[in-house]
Amino acid sequence: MIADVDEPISTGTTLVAAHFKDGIVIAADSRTSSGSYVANRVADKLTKITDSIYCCRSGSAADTQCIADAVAYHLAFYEMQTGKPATVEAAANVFRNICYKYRDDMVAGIICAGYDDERGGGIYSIPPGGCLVEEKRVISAGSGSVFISGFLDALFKNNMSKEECVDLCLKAVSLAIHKDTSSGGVCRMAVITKDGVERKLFLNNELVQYEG
Amino acid sequence: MTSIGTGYDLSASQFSPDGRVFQIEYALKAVENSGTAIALRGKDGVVFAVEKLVTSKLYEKGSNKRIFTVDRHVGCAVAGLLADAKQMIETAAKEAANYRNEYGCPVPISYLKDQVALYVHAYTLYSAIRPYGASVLMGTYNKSEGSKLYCVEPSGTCYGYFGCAIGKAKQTAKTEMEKLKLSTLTCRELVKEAAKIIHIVHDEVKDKDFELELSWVCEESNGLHQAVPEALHDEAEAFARQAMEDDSDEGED
Amino acid sequence: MALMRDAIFHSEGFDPSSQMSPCAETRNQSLVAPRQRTQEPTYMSGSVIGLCYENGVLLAADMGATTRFTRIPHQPRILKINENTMIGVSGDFADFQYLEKIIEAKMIDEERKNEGFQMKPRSLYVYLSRLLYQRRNNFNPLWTNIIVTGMQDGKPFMGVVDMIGTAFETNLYSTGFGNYLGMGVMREAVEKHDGKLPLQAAVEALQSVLRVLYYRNTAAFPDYQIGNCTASGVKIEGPMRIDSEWEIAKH
Repeated sequence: MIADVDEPISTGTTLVAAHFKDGIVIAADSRTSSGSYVANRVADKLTKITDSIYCCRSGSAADTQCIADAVAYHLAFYEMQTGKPATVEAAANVFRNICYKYRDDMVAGIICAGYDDERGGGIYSIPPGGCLVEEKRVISAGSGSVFISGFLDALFKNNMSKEECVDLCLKAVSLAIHKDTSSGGVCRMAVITKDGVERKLFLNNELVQYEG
Repeated sequence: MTSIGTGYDLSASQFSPDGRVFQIEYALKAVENSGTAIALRGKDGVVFAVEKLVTSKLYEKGSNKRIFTVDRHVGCAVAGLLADAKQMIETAAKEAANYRNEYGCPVPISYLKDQVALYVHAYTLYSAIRPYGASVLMGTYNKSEGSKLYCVEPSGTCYGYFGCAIGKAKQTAKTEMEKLKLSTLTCRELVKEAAKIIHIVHDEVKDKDFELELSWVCEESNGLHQAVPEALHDEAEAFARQAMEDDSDEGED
Repeated sequence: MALMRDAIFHSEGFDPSSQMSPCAETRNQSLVAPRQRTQEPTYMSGSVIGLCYENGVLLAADMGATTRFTRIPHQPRILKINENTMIGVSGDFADFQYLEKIIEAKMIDEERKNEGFQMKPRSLYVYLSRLLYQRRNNFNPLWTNIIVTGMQDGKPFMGVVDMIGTAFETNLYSTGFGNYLGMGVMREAVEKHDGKLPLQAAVEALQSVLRVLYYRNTAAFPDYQIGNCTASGVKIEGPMRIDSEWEIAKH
């Protein structure tokens, strides 16, 4: 198929989110495509919602950007009103409400993850359709997830160190980039703990190389 | 009240020359005409007690309750015009349900009391409406944040308390509360103290009959706002009567 | 994009219209055809099965939701509503969560007002049937099948509501796949005991239906819950693992 201007710009995407000892790690590839044309090869699919909550977007880029903006605005106001940081659970619920309400009009699969003092690290998945599922271990989403979800389930351990967790996420995203045409580019990550957010970037030549 | 009847008390939308809004002060008077309601905040929860005056023998027992549940984890005791108070409670309940729907978790009381206060305050600004003639004590408990207690007044102000009283005998009740080391007491102990305070402040001469309402939201009730168990209620009532008798014995010496 | 939408929304079969972008759809449809509002299910959960026995009523369901390609495990689908009511829901998982939310709000309101009585199962069953029927009349159905069970005035009660609002009372039922594979097993158990089915036999009947579903339904999960409602209240047990038999593979 040749690039089609009518084809919506979407994040075909590989997303990974995993718990570790002190918080959570989220990771994503950087390919945004329109049909078979790569519209953006260094996209950032990890979007900041509050100081300690991020979301990972998959589906239509336009829809998910819009949802993320709306939730970020909502929670900024919420934090002013309540005078304390939003919990990941609350943020995930706001995402869910929007995704459920507009499920017939939007294409969005979102992972909402972050850290709050009440419950520590939190990962919530809002798959297309608008249900909300808490994830206690590791989760992958987007078109690339089918290639790596088994890999993640097999190799994930509870209470990993940060380094172990980053390593696992990098391997998973590398594998997905390798096999999934809708995933590609670089691997972006965010490590979220009580000390805040640490962004990481692995360029294409720094991905883990696999034979096959 | 010094400048009564000087024409500045006819509307909530007008200040008096010395900067007061008389309608709000009159609303407070309405609260002070009502039977006393108190709330005590202990180390493991909040206890509510209400002196519900029974003005007619024809009333059914347990009618016109003045303790309400706003959400599973938030309890309220009210004083003032009951119909006004009920509307404040409904506002709080709607706000709590709305919050649950929006954020998927129980509403924090720090947010809830602000919303109710904001609502009540709006009724102190316009000439066509009157302020709410009721005050609401609002309390909650959860494991991570401990117990919290607030009082929303007709002016729309809202303060946090360790112990608070509203209604007729609020001064006497507050004096009694100050004798207690509230933050060291458990709710089981506080239920008895609360019952005792209500019995002490009850004026047998002016108001003949009353019913004691008791509720709590605490560790023992799993963070839910509930009426205290019947056995404990009876125990507290007996404790209060005994304390009253002991007091009057001493008086005769 | 097209791949993902196909994967998610058109797992039941290929739909050429999905190749068209949403913007193109909007453009064309607004001129040509009325807007399609009837939703399609995404994550679906499998059968809920239930039957009335001697002195109560049982509900059972496996735990999780699936698309044709992916699974979400460990998701409970039997809800305790109050001390004499429980429901089991199958169908679209997001719609189930929506129902869960509105029922919880209803229950909080009822507890709060504390007027000395509780919602009974038949009231909830009628309420849900009206809700689902109204939604289907708005061409926006809640994609769920619901079994409402409990003790109604001391007697076991079971009511079924489907996604277009069809509603009826019965003494045993299964939604989804179990409607083909399990009804016979349950009916046989009930008839064998002449309407006086003991608890143990009822549980065994449900377990054997769950086992068949696990063998023969691609969407089934091995973990399940059983809810039991009797005069002394609602108790939901689980997660438990279906004990399945695979020795036949050796023959």
